[in-house]
Amino acid sequence: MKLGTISGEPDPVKVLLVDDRPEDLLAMKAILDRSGYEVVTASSGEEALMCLLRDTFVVILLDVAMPRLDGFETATLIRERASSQSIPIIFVSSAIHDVEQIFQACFSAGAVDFLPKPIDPQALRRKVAVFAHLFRQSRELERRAVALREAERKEREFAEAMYQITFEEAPIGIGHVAFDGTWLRVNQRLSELVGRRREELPLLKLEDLVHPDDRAALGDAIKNILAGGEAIRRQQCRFIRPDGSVLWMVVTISPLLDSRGAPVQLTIVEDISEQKRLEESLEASEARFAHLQQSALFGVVFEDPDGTLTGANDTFLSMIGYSHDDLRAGRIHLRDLTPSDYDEVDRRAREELRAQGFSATHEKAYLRKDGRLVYVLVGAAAHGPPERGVTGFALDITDRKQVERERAEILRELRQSVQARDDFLSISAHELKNPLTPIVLMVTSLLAHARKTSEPMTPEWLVRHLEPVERGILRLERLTDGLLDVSRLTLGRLELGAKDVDLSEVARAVVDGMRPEIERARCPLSLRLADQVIGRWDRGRLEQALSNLVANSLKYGAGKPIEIEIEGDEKVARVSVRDHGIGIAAGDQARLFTRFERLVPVQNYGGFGLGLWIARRIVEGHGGKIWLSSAPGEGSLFTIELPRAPGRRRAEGDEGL
Amino acid sequence: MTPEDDSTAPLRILVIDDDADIRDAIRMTLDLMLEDRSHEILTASDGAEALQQLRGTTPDLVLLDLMMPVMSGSELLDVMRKDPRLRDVPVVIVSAWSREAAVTGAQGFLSKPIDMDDLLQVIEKYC
Repeated sequence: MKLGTISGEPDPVKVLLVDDRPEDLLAMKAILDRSGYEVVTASSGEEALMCLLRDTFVVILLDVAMPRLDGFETATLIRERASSQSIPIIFVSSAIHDVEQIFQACFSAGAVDFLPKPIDPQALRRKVAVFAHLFRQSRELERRAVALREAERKEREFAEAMYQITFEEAPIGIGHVAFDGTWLRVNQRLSELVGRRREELPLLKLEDLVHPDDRAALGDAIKNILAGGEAIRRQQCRFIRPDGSVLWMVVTISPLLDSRGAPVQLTIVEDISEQKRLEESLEASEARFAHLQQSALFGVVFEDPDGTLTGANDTFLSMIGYSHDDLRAGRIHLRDLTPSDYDEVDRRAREELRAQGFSATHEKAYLRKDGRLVYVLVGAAAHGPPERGVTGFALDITDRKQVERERAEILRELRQSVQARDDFLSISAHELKNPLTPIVLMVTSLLAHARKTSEPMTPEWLVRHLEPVERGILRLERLTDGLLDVSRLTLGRLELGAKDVDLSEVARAVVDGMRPEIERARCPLSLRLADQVIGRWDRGRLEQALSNLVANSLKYGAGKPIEIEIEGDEKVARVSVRDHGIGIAAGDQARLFTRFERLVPVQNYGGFGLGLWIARRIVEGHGGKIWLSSAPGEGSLFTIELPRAPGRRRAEGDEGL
Repeated sequence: MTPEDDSTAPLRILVIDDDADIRDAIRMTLDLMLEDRSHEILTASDGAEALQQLRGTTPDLVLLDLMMPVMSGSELLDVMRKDPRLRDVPVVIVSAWSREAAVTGAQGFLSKPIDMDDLLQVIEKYC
C-alpha cells in the first residue's frame, strides 16, 4: 500500500460501455466523456470480458441484444468472476416488448438498473453519476480505512518502541510469564535482580526464583489470577539468588491476554531489600529503645522544648514520685523538679544541648512530689532542632551519694580523731612539763644553795623544800599511768577485778584523795551518800572513773559548788556529779566522751582531755552507762549507772582510733 | 642577811599559776637564790586572784602562766595593759607552750620546765 494514493488526484472513474452498434457506443461515450469519466468501449461480450481482466470499472453499461454472447450471458460471466462480480451492471436495450419481462431478466442476470434505447443523455448521466458517486465514496472510505490502519500501526509501533525502551531501561524488574509460570521475556534489571542470565530465564519458572518460605503464598495468588481473580499488587516476598543471597522484593503481577488470547502475566519485581533492611533496623532500634526504656535500669524521660514532660518510664516516675496521670495531664515540669541549687547546672546543660545536641552526664538532684530530694546522674540528647524536644535519662545515685556522705563523714571523723591524737600527743608532752617544773626548779636551786652555803640544813627545812619535788614526781607518775591507761583501754585490755565494793566508800575515798585539788579549785563540795551501795566491781577503776568526773567538774566549775550523790536500788547503783560550771551545749555532748576531746580552748583548760573517755570505758567495762545532762552556762550533771551484779564484759577496742 | 643594794624598797615579784606546786617551787627557788636581796614573792592561782593582789600593789615583775581557769593569762595581760599604773610592769610569760611566747604585750618568756638560770636572768634583766 502506497501512501501516495491517499492524498493524490482522485481516481479516474472508469465506465465500460458494451454495445455491438458503434453509433450507440459513440453516442453514449460522447455523453459520458463530457462528464469527465474515463470511458472504455467494447463492441461485444467477449471484448467486455477482456476489458474487465485489465481494468476495474465503476459501472458497466451492457447492451442486451448482441450477437453470439448477448447481454444476459455476458452479465452472468461477469458475475461469475470474483474480480468483477461486485461491479454494478446497467442493461441497455431498445427491444422492449414486455417491460416487465425484460426487467425480470435484467435483475436476475445481476443488473442493478435498466436504460432504454434510444438513450436519454440525462438519464444516462444521472445513473452513471450515482455509481460514480458511490464508487468515489467507497474509495474515500477505503482510503480513510487505510489511513486509519496506518495511524494505528504507527501508534502501535510507537507504543511498542516506548514499551521496549521502558521495558529495557526500567529500574524495576519486568517480565512476561506464561500461564504455566515460565518466563517469556525479561528485562535486564530482572535478570540482575534474580541473579540469572537473560537467556537462562526462559528455562526457569517464577517459583524457582522465590524463597521456599514465600513460594506457597505467591503460588496461591497466581492461581487466583489464572482463575480470573485480582491482580497481585505489591506483594512482598523473598527471592533467592544462585549465590544463596536472599533479596526482599515487592511483586506486582497483572494478568493480560496476548494477541492470540493466551494469558500472560506481566510481572514487575522491585528490590526492597534496602528498604526492608532500614525498616528492620529501625524496628530493631525502636525495639531496643523500647526495651531500654521499659527496663528498670534507669529513668527515661521526654521533654518538650519548654520543659514539660511528655513521656517517662516507670523508673523515672517512681524516682520523682509522680504518677502516669500527672504525666498525661502535663503536670510535670522540669522547673518544678529542679531544686533552686541546681538552676545553674540545668542552665549549663541546656546550653550544651543547644550547642552540641547533647548534655554530658552530670549529677543533680530532683525535687520529688513529696518534697524529698533524689540524687541523680543525668544526661540528655536533643531530638534534632530545639523545637523537637529532648530525651533524657536519669540514674538514681541517692544511695551512692549517701555512701559518699557517710564516707566523707568517716573521713572527717578520722581526720578529727587523728587531729585529736596529735593534739593529745602535743598536750601530753606539754602537760608533763608542769609537774616537771617543781622538780627541776627545786633540785637545781637546792643543789646551788647547798654548794655555796655553809649553814646546816635541818630535816624540816629539807622536807619543806623537797615536798614539791615529791608531789611533782607523783603527778608525773599519775600522768604516765594515765597515758598507759589510754593505750590499754584503746587496745581493749581493761582488766577489771570483781570484789564486793561499797560505792559510797569509793566516793569518800576519792574525795579525800582529791582534797588538795578541791581546795585549790575552791569548790564547796557536798556529799549525799546512801549506806551500803554494794556491788561486785573493780574498786580501783571506779575510783579512777569518779575522780576523773570530779576533776572535770573542778576544772570547768572552779569556785562553784559541786554535789556528789550515791544511791542505789536492788538492781543498779547510781553516781551523780553535778557542777555549776560553764556547761556543755547539747550538740557537743555526744563527743564529750570520745578520746582527747576537749570542748574549750586549750588556753583556759590544760589536761589530756582523756578523763571522761576513760570514765566511760571503765563504766561500760562494768556493763554500766554514763551520760550527761547539761546546757551552756548552767553546769553539768554526769550520771553513772552500774549494775550491782554486772554481766561483766571486757571493754572492747574503741571505735575510731 | 644584810641588804647590800642601794634600793631600799624590796623587790616584789608576782607569780601567777594555777599549779600550786609550781607557785611554791618558784617562791622557794627565789627565796634560796635571792637570799642577799630584799624581796617579796606574791602568788595568785588565776587572773582574777592576781587582779585582787594587783589592786594594792605594783610589782616589779609578773611571772604569768597562760592556761588558767576563770581568767587566763592573756586576759589578765590585756587588763594590765589598759591600766596606767600597771601598763609598764614587765610581764614574763611562763608556759609549757613555746608558741605562746608571742603573746603581745609580754616582755619575756620562760618555758616550762623552768630552768633556774633562765629564771634568775629574767629577774636580773627586768628588776
